[in-house]
Amino acid sequence: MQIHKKFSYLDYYILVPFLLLIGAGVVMIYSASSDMLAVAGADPTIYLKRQFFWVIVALVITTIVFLSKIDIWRSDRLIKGLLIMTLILLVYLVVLSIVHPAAAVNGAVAWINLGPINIQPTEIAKLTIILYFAFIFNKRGPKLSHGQIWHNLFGPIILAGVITGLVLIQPDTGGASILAFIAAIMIFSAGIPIGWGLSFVTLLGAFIPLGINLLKKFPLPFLEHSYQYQRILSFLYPFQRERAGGSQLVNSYFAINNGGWLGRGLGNSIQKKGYLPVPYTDFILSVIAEELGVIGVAVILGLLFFLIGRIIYVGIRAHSTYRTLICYGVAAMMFVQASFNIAGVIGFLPITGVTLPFISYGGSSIVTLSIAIGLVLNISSTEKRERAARSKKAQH
Amino acid sequence: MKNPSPKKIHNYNKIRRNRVYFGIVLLMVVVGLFFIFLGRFSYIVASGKLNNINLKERTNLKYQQDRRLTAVRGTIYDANHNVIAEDSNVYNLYAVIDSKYVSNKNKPLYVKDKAHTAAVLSQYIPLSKAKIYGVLNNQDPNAFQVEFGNAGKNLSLEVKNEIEAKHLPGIYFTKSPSRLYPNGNFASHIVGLAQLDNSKKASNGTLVGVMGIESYFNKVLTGKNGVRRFKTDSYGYELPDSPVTTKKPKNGQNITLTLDSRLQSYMESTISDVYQQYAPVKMTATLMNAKTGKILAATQRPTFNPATKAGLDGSWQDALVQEAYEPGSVFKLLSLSAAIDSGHYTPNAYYQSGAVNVSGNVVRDWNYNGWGSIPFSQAFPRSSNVGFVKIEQQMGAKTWLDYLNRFGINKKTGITLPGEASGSLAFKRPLDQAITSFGQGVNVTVMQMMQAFSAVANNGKMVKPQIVSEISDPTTGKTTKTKTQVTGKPISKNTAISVRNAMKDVINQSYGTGQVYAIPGYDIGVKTGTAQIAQNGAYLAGDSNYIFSVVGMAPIDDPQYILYITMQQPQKMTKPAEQILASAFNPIMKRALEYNTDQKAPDVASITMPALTGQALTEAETKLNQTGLTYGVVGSGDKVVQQLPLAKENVLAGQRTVLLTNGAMTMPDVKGWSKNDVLKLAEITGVKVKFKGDGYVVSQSIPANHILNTDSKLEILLSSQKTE
Repeated sequence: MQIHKKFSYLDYYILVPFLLLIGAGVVMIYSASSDMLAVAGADPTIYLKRQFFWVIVALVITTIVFLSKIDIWRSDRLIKGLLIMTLILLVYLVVLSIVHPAAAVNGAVAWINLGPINIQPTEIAKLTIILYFAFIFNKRGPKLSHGQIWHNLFGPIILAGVITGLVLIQPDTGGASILAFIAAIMIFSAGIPIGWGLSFVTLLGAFIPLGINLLKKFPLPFLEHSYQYQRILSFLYPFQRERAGGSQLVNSYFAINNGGWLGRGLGNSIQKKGYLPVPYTDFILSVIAEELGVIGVAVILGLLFFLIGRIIYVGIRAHSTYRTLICYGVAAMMFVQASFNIAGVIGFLPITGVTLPFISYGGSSIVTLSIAIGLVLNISSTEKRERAARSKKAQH
Repeated sequence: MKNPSPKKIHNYNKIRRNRVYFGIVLLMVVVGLFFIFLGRFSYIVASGKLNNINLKERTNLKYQQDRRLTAVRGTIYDANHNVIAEDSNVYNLYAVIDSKYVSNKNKPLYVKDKAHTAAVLSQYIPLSKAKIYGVLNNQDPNAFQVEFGNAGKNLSLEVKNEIEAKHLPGIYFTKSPSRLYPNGNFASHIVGLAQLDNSKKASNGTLVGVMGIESYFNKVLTGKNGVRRFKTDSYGYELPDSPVTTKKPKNGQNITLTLDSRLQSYMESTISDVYQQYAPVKMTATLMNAKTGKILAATQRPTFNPATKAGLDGSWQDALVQEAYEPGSVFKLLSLSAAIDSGHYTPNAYYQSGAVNVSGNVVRDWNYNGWGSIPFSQAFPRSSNVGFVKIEQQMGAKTWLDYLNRFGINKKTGITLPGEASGSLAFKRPLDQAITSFGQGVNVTVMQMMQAFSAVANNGKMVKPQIVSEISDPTTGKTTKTKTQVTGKPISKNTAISVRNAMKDVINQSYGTGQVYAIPGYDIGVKTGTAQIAQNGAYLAGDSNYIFSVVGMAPIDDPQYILYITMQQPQKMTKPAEQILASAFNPIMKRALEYNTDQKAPDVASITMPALTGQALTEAETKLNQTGLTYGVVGSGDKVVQQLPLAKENVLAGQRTVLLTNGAMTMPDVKGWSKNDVLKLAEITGVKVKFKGDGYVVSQSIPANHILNTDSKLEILLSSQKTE
């Protein structure tokens, strides 16, 4: 396929939101980080510059992935290589946390330092699971009829479980949850009866409120020293625990309330000035709410959810199981990650340290997302071309 | 392509359908969650409330900062408006030694050159170069900053400025409010002390009076702090465009005491001499204006220096109001007054001195043998206890008690000093009643005695002792003056005159106990006292175990001053007690009497000095010519920057004014000037002057129009013949 032809089938419903979101991200990262950098005596544009650099890298990667032949992403060698590399990196982190605990950042050993850049194996793991599940379920899809389901799912689930488990012990609860959700959604869309998927979603929807209510009625004091339990308590009683860990959520509420409907205006957040922790990553949405108001949040989240919806739509329309699964996997990744972040800053879920896709600062995240967008753009374009070809054939 | 079997196609379609359904479900979840999330954002904004907590209020509270605007603590002045206590700041020195402490541009903000820094600092703080170096050379790797102990504390603004002018990197100061007592030992227990309040409530440093006037008028002096309320970010920076409300501080009021610093200083040094020489356990001295009750000077030993805090670990009690003691024979002033006033005094009747039996107890004269049969008129000058027991018996306990009450014994005077004691009076048994006549068995405070004495001095009119002369509000300018307060008329004018005549006898009669208190040129009346000290229910024995005292009034015919000195148990009693007391009493009383005449004389032909500072020289010269004052000009400028005498001072016609102008200081031609005039010049220029001879200037070592600086030494030759 010639390059110009591929471009002519470019899916603008994906490309335009993608570009707008990373653009908005750059602007908001500058707004959210410049004050605290200035107070610390550092260059206030340093995060702006770094993010800008990563955006350029991301656009190059997206272009390359978009232009690649979609089928090279399902080669045995690539998938095997990815799985092995992911496992090695994650095990390396576990070893590192034992021999060199000082490598921990914010309590978790989640990064591998490679000189000028840090890589986050969890991000690689997300792509690995998406590509591996799409590959394996595409192969085994037809066999996933009754009776054969467990037999065919067992291997992939164990593998995904090991990867997720390795992330969980970093400890990166947020990352592990995202991986588990991606895996779950891909398993349910692999072709097993729809009832299974629906019951899973229903159970999950019921379990979270039930768990929360149980925890409120029967606190677990023996977990008092557990970081995760503290997070959950802070989520349940943010105002009471404002001075003991609940301040993050409370400050996010303050930011949203400060912003009102129309916002305080770009650059005018008060909460970013030392009240919100890491306002340019986990709490960038709070800053957006404060500066651009609910309207601004609606626009940004509208773009993001439209993009996710569009990716699912591409997946629904795709003719091959493989392509559908890639789309669902990518959409699941973005959706779960976004939901965890949003739910955290508005007090629906405990704060898990998950960033907002496309908007939050971070090179690893944007590179992963750019590969994912590249894949989806590639699939969308390929599908369109094939559809065009089919309708041409039908006309003849 | 081989056609797939129908079953396989069916299966494939089913799987695909499942996938599509699942996709649609997923899509619905995505859309649903989007609206749920937006709903939550909208809910937070629309209600402004979560968990019943108003977010707007909470944020306002969170951002709100109150910065205290400290009210200036009122100044305490003496009667001539000299500062006794005022607010100031002191500075504490510290040095940052952490070499990681650098500016953005990598300039060191820590002590880099330790040797140089130590050398410079040693010139300003009382610590050797080597010791400072030792402190700076702290090897503790965790040490960020170091301090220099007491040597680096409480530095004045001047010292701080001078050190800062040396631009030593890493040298910093913290500021803390402090109270300045420029006079050192100066009625210390009366003025009291204000210190930094270190309690948690006032952690950021407020001065609180803990003793004396500082404590009694603490609220008046403190004023009310203001507050500046504004909003900040988490780093403490003010938020732009946030509303600021300011409540101005209300500065504390100034208090002018009745103390006269010239008399007070003189009293301090005189009493100090006595205290050092004879080492009494305690000593007090109080000088009061007899007419108004104003305390002009008062002190006690041991004392403390509020500027250095030296001696503060001793007594915190104001001995003049908080301590009650048995006054001894000075109390006979009261018993004599009572007897005369009630008509029970028979001066010409005789009694047997030496000893008297009171309900089974023997009361003796200080001279155990007595003086034989003597008239009652000698009982007072001889200080005969036996005579006074008899006088008391003649007037009866009831009358005596009545007079004690009239004199305000056993009752607080109400002077504005903290912790005043009311004393006590044992008056049940006839023995008790008898011995009160010579000041035993009754506990009084110095202030009670001063008040009672005033009735005698003031022709029967008793006045309340006052320490505060006025309180003024610096903001409103409102001034409240303390009025003379007559607290009763316990005795008649004639009684008072008779008692004062008896006081004269104490000095003038050959048998008087107070002959040493005579001051040539002045008519004085005194009463001496030698009180036994009760301890554990018994009186102490031994030559020095007494409270020796003397009260005197002068001029005795129309007393201006009452001076009362007490001295307890001198440890080095190298002289008789009355000689020791006289070495304090006589000079102080003399100074007060001289001072009084000094003050009156200039009123005759005085001119009020006009304000000249800030005016053009020509204008000032015109004014001086008009008022008939001569003048000398220092410096070559055209504007007056300083003048002596100061504006509003009373000066005599013909007295010379010294004007300092802007520009370099130059020596004026001082030929014909008086010594006093040259001293004014020295004061204004800081030049050290050495005089030879007396009279008027005939020559000066620095020629006229030569440049002067503060190191200049000027020799002046004076001659009694005016050269002109």
